[in-house]
This record gives sequence, structure tokens and C-alpha cells, in this order.
Amino acid sequence: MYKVTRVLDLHDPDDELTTAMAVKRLRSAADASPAIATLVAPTLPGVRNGGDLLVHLQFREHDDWLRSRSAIDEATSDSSVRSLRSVEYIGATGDRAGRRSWSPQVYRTLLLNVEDSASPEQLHHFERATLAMPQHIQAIGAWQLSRVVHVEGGSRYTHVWEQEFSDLADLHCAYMFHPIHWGLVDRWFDPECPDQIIADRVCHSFCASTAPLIDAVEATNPHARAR
Amino acid sequence: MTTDTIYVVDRVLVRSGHAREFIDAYLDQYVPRATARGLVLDRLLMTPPVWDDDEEHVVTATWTVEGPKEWWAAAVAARHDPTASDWWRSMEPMVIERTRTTEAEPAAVERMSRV
Repeated sequence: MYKVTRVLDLHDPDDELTTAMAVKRLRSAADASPAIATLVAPTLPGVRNGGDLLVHLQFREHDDWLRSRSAIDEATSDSSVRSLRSVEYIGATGDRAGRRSWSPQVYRTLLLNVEDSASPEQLHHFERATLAMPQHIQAIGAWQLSRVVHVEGGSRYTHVWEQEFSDLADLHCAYMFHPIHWGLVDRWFDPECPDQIIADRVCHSFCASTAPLIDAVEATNPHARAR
Repeated sequence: MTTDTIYVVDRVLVRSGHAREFIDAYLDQYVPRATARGLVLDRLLMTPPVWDDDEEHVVTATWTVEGPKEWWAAAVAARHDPTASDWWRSMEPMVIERTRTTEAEPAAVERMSRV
């Protein structure tokens, strides 16, 4: 699956009419594309560096995206858009993705940048620990850790860490407050910690979602240990 | 301390002859800002406990916060305060190596995991 995520910052996100028009225009462009799954939605309060609108498209093939790209480019470069960040990636499979729930209400994506100076061992440890989170946090309904193949918009991102939750409390409490998060995984993000390999600033974005979006190929045993 | 207490522990191996200078800088420069971000300095220890300029020293600072919400508040504040990582960078000539770990009492782990 070839996936595209665009994070849009608007000139005036408090202008509800303009925002609604932007969402409508983006949804039309997404629906007209050959994407097999789409999500266009305003981000929810609490995002950090997460933009005002989230656009997510999934294509069976890279060529499908290339054929529709100009229309999406046009829709995401409207005068209401102040800036955009875009990542393209191949949705990870195998033990890098999983699903245990089919009724999400919240889609969350974290765009992050592993510094070039990180060793392969550090990168492996970070990825392994991140993928262990669903084993400990049952509130994660679906997850996928993918590596970015193309980025635009002035920020450098190397990874996309996606999850689905049944509600915001699962994201804000179960996910954020679990010890595996603050006691293990965050060390790679902490600029004060010598283990840090993730450059600031991450893009922590989430929005409402009413359908499963993460393309985990098959349900993963939630008790299986991520490798 | 409560059973929800989270401990942030810095262990710093300081070059011989620099222990006093490092500790003074830690107390004068680092501690006030970390405290302002919501961390509470529980204790600051050194070993060997002797001012011997021929010896390397391990300095261990243990900070506490009362729960994950407070931990995140302090962490996010630090990420918006580049002086924290800048301070550590300025100490590099005195530091051989260091670690930072986030810890909890074993008896608290199961309850902390039920969030």
C-alpha cells in the first residue's frame, strides 16, 4: 500500500466557513482520486505541531498516486493553506503493523525524524520498543510503524507511527500515561537524554475517524511479542 | 513520595578534577530551571564521597514527579526550553559519559500500567 499523509496549516483555522470549504474541496479531490482509502478531517484540540487539517490517502500502487497527484497538489495549495508537510510511505506489514479492533473513533499519526547520526542498533532498539507498545497498551486498536520514502514541506521525517483508538481518552490517558511510553520509548525523543535519536520537533496529529484506516493486512495476535 | 512517584535519574561520570565544578554548575544553573519545569530534586549523590581531584566521580541526581501527567508536563516544558539540552552540551568537556533513566517502585508498576 502506498500511503500519503499531508498536514496542512491554515492561515486562519478559526474561520469555520473557510475551513469547512477547504475540507469539502479536499474530500472532493480525494474522492476523485483512485485512492482506496481516504481521510480528510480537521485535527482535534491537543495536537502538537500537528496542523489544522489532516489529509491521508492510500493507493494500491505508487502509480495510482502519481496519476492523481496534481489534483491533490492543487487542492492542498489553496489560498487558505499557509503551509503543508507531506510524507509518502509504503505501509509497513508483518510485525510492524497490527489490528485488534475494527471500530475506531480517533486516528493518530506521529511523524518523526530519526537523526542520521543514529546507529543501526539504536534505530533497531527504538523501533522494537515502539512496536512493543501495543502489547502493553490494549487501547491501541490498530498500529503501523512505517519508514518514509518521500518528504516535502521543509520538515524532515523518516518514520510514521500510526494508531487507531476508540476514543480520545485512550490516546490521552491509556497511551500517553502508560509506563512503556514515558519510561522506555520517550528516551529516544528526550533532548536531555543521551539516548535521544529523534530530532525535535515531531508532528503529533490526530483527528476523528469513523472507519478502520490502518492497513494491517491481517489481525495480529495482541499478545504476540513485537520483534 | 507516593506510590505514583516517578523518578528521573541522571547518572554522570565526571572527569577527574571536575567533580566540584560540575556539582556547583548543576546546583546553580540546572536545578533552578528543572525545578521551574516541575521536577523536584529528591537527592544529589556523589561517589566516591571525597574531594579527590585524581579520581573520576559518579554524580547521581534523582528527581521526582507525582505521576505521568506531571511527568509529561515537565517533559514538554523541557522540549520548549532549549537551555536544558544546551546546558548538558556545555558540560560535555567535564563529562565522560552519562545516562538518564525514568524509574518507578516495583510495587507501583502494575498499578501504573492500568491506565
